[in-house]
Amino acid sequence: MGSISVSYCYRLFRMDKEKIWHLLILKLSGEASGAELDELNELLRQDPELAAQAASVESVWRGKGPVAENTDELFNRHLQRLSDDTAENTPFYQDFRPRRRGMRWLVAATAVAACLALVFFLPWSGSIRSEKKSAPLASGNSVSTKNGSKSKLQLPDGTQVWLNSGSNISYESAFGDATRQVRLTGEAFFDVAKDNARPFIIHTATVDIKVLGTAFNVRSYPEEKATETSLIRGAVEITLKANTDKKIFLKPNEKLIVSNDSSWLEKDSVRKDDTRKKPTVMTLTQVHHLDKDSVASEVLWTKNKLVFDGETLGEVALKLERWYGVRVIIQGDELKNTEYTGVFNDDNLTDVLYALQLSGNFKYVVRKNEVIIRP
Amino acid sequence: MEKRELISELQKKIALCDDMAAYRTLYDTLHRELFLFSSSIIKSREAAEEIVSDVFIKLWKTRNELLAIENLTVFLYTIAKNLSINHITRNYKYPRVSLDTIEVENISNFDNGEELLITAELAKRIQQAIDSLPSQCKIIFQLVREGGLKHKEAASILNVSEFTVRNQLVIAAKKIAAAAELKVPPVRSRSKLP
Repeated sequence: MGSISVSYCYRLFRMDKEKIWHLLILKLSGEASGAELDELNELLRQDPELAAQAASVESVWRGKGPVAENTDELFNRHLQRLSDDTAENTPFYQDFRPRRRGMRWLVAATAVAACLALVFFLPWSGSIRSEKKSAPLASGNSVSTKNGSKSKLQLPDGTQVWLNSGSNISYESAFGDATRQVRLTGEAFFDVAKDNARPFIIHTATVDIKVLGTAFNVRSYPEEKATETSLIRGAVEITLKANTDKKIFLKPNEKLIVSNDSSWLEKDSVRKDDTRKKPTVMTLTQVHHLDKDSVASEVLWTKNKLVFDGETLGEVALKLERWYGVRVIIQGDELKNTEYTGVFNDDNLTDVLYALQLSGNFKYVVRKNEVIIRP
Repeated sequence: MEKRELISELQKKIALCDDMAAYRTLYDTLHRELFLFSSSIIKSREAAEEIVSDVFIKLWKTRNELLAIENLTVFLYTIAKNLSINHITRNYKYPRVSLDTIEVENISNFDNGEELLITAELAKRIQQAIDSLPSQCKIIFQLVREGGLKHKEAASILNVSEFTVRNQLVIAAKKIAAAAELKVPPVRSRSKLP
């Protein structure tokens, strides 16, 4: 009896020791949970000898070797190899390889990067325009909303579409045969009926969005600077019209903003501008919740809420024009860049203007269907 | 910004905007640990530098598909591992391609920081203990400690289980503890650890 309990105790003792080592490793690797850390501390408290060992392992683990180093030379050697390597495949690249050996590599590298980024889009710059001319979907059904009105419709496959003001959605009579394709200008929220066999594709002027069963918002007004896709749930795949090689997958709560402006692709402006002035072509960001737990501000319009989320008065004016079907004229350019944030619960135009004017520094006059804003 | 977030931020910038500045930052962030990893396998600093460079060339060339990669760090380590193993098969007369059997040069080093008061003698002993770890153990120790990788990530790079990763780290910790132990005068020898 006695010997059994001794060996039992010993085993328990050894198991504790093993446990301490495993917990210590979890702690050092940053993978221990709060409960595991508590358990480790408790076990170490009971075993001062092992606690001393653990402490020395911990200080060895945390004492890292030299970290800071200057990587310029290394990186330049790497760039040289990168440019040699890429040169074999892309003839274009050769123009930008340094002719003089002693060229300052960082400068060269930036130039190369800029040119790479630009050339990437150049061959496609014509295709955007041609895309606009051919509108094959026009032969089928088409739904438009005027400024001042919104609409909700159901497509033949059961997909729900909320169409914001000043927008148009169209689809061919062949919709749903093999694929489900629609063309959109303006803004719409889609809740796409799931059907893996027939992909749902939305064409806009700037991007194509392939849907893999999901809910999301697309905002693509021609008069605005960028096309925005905000994913609420599911998954979508976005292809740029300007470069069909680029495929971007969005995860829920991500938002992709693609510039509608292709003029920066023109060769002349490229040469003059340095890389930093290059307009942002694409930004991947998160959808924005004005309050925690609320619906993303990008889709609040479907709840009949007019939202300004850090938008300039210029952008606010465009939204007001569409929402209320009025014309908004801003007199004085300095007013245009003030930013406004706010949510309006289907208020009338004068209420909205009054509220904006309280926080802004402008006066306004409403005349028939025209709003004039001035300092 | 935390390293993980930084890397995924850079991943997006490179993929979406061909952002060379982000590429450079990513290089600065990861080249050293990839270099250590590769040179610990192939034991040649020059070749390891080339391999790291090749890893980043591959990264640049595949930037269009980069967003589909869930864990960029693991992706880059895996390329580094494959290139390193290729290097060995090409250059060794009798190639040994399993990481278990390759002798690993030690490159994990530690620095007795301010709070750690150890003698040069003790530091040397600890370094020897790390040096004498089995190859796989040494690589795992380095990935998790120097690279700050999760056990899951190290496991996926080396094609072993997370269980193995943790066990190998326990072995390393015990070796280090044993080497450091004389620092604390033994009061009584209660138990010898296996």
